[in-house]
Amino acid sequence: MNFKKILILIFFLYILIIFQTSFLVHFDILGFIPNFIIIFIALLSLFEKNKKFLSLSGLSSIVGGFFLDLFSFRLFGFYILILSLITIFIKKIIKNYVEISF
Amino acid sequence: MKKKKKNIFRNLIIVLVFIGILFLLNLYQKEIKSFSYNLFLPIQKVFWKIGDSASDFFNVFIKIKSAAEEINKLKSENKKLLYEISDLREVKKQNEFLRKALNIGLNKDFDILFANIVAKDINSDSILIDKGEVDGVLKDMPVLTEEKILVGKVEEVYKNSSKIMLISNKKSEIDVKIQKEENNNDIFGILKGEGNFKIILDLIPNEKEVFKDDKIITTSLGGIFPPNILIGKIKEVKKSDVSSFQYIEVDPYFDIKDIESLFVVKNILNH
Repeated sequence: MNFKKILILIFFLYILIIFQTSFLVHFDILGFIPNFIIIFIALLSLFEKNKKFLSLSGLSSIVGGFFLDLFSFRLFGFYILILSLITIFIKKIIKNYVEISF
Repeated sequence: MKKKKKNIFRNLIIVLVFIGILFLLNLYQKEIKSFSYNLFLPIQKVFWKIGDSASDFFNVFIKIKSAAEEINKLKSENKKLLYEISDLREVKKQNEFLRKALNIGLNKDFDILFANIVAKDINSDSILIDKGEVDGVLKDMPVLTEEKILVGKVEEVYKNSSKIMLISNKKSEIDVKIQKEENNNDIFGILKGEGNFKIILDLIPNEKEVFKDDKIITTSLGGIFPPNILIGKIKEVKKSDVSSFQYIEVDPYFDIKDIESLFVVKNILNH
């Protein structure tokens, strides 16, 4: 993990959370708005080569979770925990049961 | 073994640090959120504005679509109402028609059956009515207007409809008489259809005095039509030395183009 990548990732997640909370709210489908942060982190965990939690997707789940927590009324850390668990779960599944040739 | 223990210890430290950070975040939640919102606000405003405009733009299409649906709905309701109005007009017309017939006393003289014309074939001098076998219509039953004017007779009976042969049909021949002021002077003849809504009165000898506008009524001779039913009036009289009979053209009292309903006479009551 290089520093530049981490900065780009944080900036991307920052834009994504603003996009989701300020732009997408105008386009709800039957009152439902897709959570792009969760989708992005799930996809990143799925396709990242590094199968350890301390990777780009792990960091994304913490930063993304933090941003989601900022805009939620739940206890701080709820989304950080949820996203971290999703990342760990996906990585565990892929590491143990799936082989993806990149 | 030592390494494993070290790893567990390290992970435990990480978890504890993690919990500690979360605890701190919750402790200073208000300050953190306030700071973050200040940082996010300028860009959020831009995104909100864009999203708002974009949703307004798409809402216009949605509204146009719903307006179009509303128009279609109203159009179909309008059609339904127009249909109901025309239906009510028909009922009103039928009502007036029946009242007229009742005033004339058609129901006192005959056992009548009200029928609507569903098809007209003026070229073949026949019409189709909406009453048939199930309504008790039989072949050769006379057909009258509400003003007690003879139109023709039932030619063919179907299950729910009947074909009426008009008096102007080429096959039509009716025993009639020219009504004179004194009953004994009535002149008897045969009314023949010439087709194309033309009727002539035949077998009236040249010596009989016949005038224009003389009334022609039915007789009971043929056994089909009830007597004294109005048919028409004399339109034109031609006498010729070649023939011993006069050529009399008759103008019927009804115009088939104006008729929409009729009465089929099922039985004669007062004769």
